[in-house]
Amino acid sequence: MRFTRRGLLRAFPALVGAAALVPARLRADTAGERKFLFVFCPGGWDPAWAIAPVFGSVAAMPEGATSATANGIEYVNDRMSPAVGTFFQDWGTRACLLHGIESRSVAHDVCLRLILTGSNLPGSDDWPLTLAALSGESRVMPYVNLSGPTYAGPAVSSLVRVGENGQLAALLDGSALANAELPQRLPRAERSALTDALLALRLERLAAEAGAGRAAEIAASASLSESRRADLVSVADQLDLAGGVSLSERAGVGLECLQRGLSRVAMVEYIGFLGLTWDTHGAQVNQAGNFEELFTELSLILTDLKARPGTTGGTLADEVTVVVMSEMGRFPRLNSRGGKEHWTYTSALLVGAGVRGGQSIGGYHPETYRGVGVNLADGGEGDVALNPSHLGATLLALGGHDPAEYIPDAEPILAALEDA
Amino acid sequence: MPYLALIAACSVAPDDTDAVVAASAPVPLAVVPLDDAALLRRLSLDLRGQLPTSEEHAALAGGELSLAEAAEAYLLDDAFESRFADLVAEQWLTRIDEFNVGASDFRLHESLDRSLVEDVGNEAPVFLAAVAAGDLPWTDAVLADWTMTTDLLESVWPVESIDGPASTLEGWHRGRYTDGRPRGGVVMTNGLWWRYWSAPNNYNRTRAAAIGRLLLCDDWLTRPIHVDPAQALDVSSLEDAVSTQTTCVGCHDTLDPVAASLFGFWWFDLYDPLEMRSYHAEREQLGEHYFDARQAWFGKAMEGPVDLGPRIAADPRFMRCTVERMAHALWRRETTDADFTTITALEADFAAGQYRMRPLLRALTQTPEYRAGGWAEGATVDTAVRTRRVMQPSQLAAAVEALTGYRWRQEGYDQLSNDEIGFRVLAGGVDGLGVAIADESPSVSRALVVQRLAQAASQYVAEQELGKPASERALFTLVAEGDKPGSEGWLAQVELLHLRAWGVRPTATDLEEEVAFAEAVHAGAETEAEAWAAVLELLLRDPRFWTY
Ligand code: HEC
Repeated sequence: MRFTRRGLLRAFPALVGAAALVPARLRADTAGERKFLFVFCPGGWDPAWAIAPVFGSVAAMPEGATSATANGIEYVNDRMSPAVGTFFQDWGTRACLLHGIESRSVAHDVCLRLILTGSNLPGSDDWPLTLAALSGESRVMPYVNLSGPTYAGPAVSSLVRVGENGQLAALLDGSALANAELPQRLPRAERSALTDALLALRLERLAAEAGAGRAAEIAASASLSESRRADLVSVADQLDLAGGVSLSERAGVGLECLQRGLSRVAMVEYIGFLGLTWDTHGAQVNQAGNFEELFTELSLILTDLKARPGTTGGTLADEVTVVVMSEMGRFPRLNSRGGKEHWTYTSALLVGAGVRGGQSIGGYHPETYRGVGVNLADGGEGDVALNPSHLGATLLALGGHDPAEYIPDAEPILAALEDA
Repeated sequence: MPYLALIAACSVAPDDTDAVVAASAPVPLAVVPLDDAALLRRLSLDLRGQLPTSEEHAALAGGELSLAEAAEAYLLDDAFESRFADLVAEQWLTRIDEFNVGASDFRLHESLDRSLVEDVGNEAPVFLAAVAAGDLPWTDAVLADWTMTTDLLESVWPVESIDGPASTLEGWHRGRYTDGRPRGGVVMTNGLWWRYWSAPNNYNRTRAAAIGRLLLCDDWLTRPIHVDPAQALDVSSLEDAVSTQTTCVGCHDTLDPVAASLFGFWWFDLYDPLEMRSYHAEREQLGEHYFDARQAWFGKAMEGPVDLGPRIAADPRFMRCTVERMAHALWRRETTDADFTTITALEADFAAGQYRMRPLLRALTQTPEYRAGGWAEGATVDTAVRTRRVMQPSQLAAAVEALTGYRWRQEGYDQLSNDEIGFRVLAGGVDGLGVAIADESPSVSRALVVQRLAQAASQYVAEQELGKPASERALFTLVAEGDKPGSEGWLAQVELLHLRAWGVRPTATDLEEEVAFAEAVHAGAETEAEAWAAVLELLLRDPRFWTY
């Protein structure tokens, strides 16, 4: 008997489905689901240098700066960073600032984990990944991380890291093999289809037979990851995952993934003007340069969102919440090098879909520089000290999920939600 | 665990230990151990980072090799040292992609940049691996007056090569710093402090915290910092708060005196190669000035940095922590309070072996948790127990290379151990900074990396070998030209591939599917090599290859 590809498929009927060319999940109905773009500013930004006008407090402020208001949002009007004001004039009605979030540490690694997961224990999924995993199995890259920190636990199969230089693209198009020191070409498409099909069949079988415990988890995750991989390969030529240089261009790659329904969540990091970092232990003025570029780019991102069609008729701007954050803030006083040390309280910016804009929630105590307690329901002063879990709960609520199920120790900041 | 360990260390006299152990004895795990062949594979991958050979599988099956003998052989294998360095690096996070300065800062050609990054990131793990592989007492990790070095490091750092046992790691040999730094093993290496640098105004606190975390498993940072609402921040600088605010004192009282002992490594400029390369003995006392506090190890005064290593070595948390870290490495999960009894027993094994690493690892591989392969009928399943593990990128690279001879390199980079142009993180590994914990489950990007690696390696080995006489081949030794799928020679070869890659013989279904598959590929293939490459690719992408 001579086996042909058709013969093989006939011999193993399950292969037919697995080898189908249009991935089923690309047609899955996830339209209308709220999506997220995270812009992460690693190193510890100084809210006082742009978004927290704490004049008259212990905090050193940019020279010559004043407090200004646009669309109900108070910000720091500094001639070194005019883009901040422009941004709130253009987008303030859709923006909400959260101030005085306590990250409970002064070390970057610890604060990163805390602000993104609410816990300093290893093994938990961060907020972006949690949101992505809640999208179910229907997306190819539920969370596409173009750059920036990730904390992945059980939901890791929902995370796709693109690599700091877009390496994923080189894997997808095979240039990673062509450019190797021992170069190899990709197999013929027909051979690949056969291999993928038999592998998928075996993975499904392993998952069904794996019993309990880790073996079962790994088998299930392997099967899901492999089918997502195959789907990703099939749409790769429509994506330019390594494309773009500036923050807004890289974010645009993420938006492309959201727009196509491939992803629910995307993250891009912004490491500062000319890569000069947010970790300004000296030269505090770099914060101004960073904020100037950040807000210029954020304006471009929001414009881009409006220009992209949404999945439910409107534009992508109606469906995507942009979350801009950093792992820590900076100590109020300048040090001897004209910089600021780490501080455990920081701010975050939410803008876009689902956000009740035109407001700032929380603040910094003028003397202790601790976060000011808030009333979660109306956003005014109250007795809740904001911490990363409140941010996480708010994001889950924005995503349409019940935060109590996932973050038992914190309630969402309802005041920040449009339809609360 | 660290706190419990501390209590145990402080309050339990040696003869009381049994009573404590009995009182807190955990319910035995309802796990079923792996079968022998699978355990052989786990031992080989964990202890030397490679797959067992088919001869080893055959010897085990034939009763000529016991698992205990195999474990012993793997611990003594040449690859043990490199594997141990990988395990350390995964936890110590020193293999980052970029340090504050690079080759050109030392007027070296930029083509040496990657090698320099690798050597710097490897100094600490390779040194610790040399202590382990040399069967030296683990106290040497913080007491030794030598380090491990390469020619390249010697060309940029004040370190010279000295006589000593040969390393199994290519390019590495014993060396000693010549800049007057005190002895202190790993805590006196540039490699460690280039990774854990400290901004001038941080005053080495990052580094002191790293010592606590890495060597004591007592992490100042895991305690949350809460600024005391009762105390106003009416201070002109943060430094004043550290010694006046009660909230701050709790940590900084012990942290700062350790940090004070590290000022020989304190740099005025974070990006100055001359600052960074040398130890600055003249700065040793500066910390006392900045902190207004004496150098001390948790309340015990230190005369100077020369006391740091000995204080760590004498601290009971150090050995306890070493046991916890190695348990983490081999159990593939963090230890918890529930492991108290087991860790205590392992610590006793470690002590009985004079704190040599091999006896500890041997004892660890004998724990039920290490050997677990599944769950007893009706048992409560705990998915934290790694009844199955996913190969880390370094294991994947080594296993594929051993099978096929293919190593994935590009422009001088090893593609599974960097993230600049490579795929370490995409394959589930750590980059030391943004990703500090390895993925323990498959992911999409991992599936893609494994696919491409499997394709390249299979094609490479098939094309390299099938044109040669069988006697010159390493993998395709049983197939002859013209053997068609399903023929005797073909089936024998496929069996061998299964045994080498998965550690088991194929089932009848496996073979039936692979015959059909190979025929289908064959029909469109231009060469026999292509059909063989397809079969091997299939096996390498299967979790039965990349889990263990
Ligand atoms: C839970 C333990 C702990 C507490 C409490 C604590 N610290 Fe720290 N602190 C640390 C550690 C650990 C570091 C080093 C972190 C690092 O750089 O990785 C540190 C670093 C610092 C630094 C250097 C920071 C920098 O920017 O590099 C300052 C200043 C400091 N702490 C001030 C304070 C003050 C003020 C308080 C009280 C409000 C305080 N700390 C409370 C553990 C603590």
